[in-house]
Amino acid sequence: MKNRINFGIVVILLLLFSGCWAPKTILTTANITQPVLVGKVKTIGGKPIENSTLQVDTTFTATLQNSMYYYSAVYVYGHSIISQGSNLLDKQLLPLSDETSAMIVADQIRFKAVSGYWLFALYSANKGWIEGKKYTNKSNEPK
Amino acid sequence: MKTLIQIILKRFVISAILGYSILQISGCSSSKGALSFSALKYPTSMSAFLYDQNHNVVMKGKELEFLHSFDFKKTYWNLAYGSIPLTKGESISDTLNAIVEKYKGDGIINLTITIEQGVVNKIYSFFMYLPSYIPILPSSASITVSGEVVKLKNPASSYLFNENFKDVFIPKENISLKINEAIHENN
Repeated sequence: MKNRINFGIVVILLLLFSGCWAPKTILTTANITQPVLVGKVKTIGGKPIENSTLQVDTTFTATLQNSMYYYSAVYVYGHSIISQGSNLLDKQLLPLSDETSAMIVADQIRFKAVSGYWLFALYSANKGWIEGKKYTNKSNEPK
Repeated sequence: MKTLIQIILKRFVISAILGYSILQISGCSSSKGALSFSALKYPTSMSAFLYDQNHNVVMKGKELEFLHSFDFKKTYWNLAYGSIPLTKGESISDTLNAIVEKYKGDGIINLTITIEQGVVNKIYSFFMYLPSYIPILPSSASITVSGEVVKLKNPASSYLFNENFKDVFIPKENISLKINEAIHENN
């Protein structure tokens, strides 16, 4: 009985502290071999260009989410970490960068952090979105 | 009589299970935000590449010289499960501009955003998210912005995009063209 109580306390403590081990979500496109610009300045020394004045080829939304479950019911304890890895953003943006004339511009970066205790499980998730557009290089000449 | 007690007990147990389940489902904390780069004065890239003034791709280690790496943290606060933002979607452009100017760079590469639970969310986890049942208690998300300040290696090329030297500096490949233009004008 004593061992069972001790085990129960350990499970509860693990559940309480597991919130501190919540995974981070890292938004990076380090493996893309061309600029992934943010903001209105497109070139070194260039002036700001309104994105709305440029010709849009396509719009994109690249998402990345890392989540974690720590569950405990009676004396059953376990955890599950689903990490999509930062390379996923590269995979989503890679098809846009296949043309040498393509210019990728991220207009906005949004993020969300959700955590809670749902049905005997501690849930934690961080999600990030990169919303942007692809232009052709020709249409991006500074005016 | 026995049946009545059984019915009351049954209802009590069902109510208790339902109540507990509702509490279990509703205990959550959410926080969200958006980053805006509208007032950036310098080209900024999430990869290791930038465009030069002629729209040629330049990269770190070749045309771009690494000057300094940086990182800073920001916390975004929300109320009522993330539906009421307490931190405005303020632009981080001013901070990035100041960093580039401090190190006298030409732009930023490898801009990386790291998202994690805020301190408050972590504290809530110690109490099984019971505080989050009160919507007036805030939740938070923490982001870390990191990157590298770079400069074009060839200083001569920087004259090309400096307004003051625009008419003074003639690129090497354009010298013959300029001479021809001058001859044509004189004729």
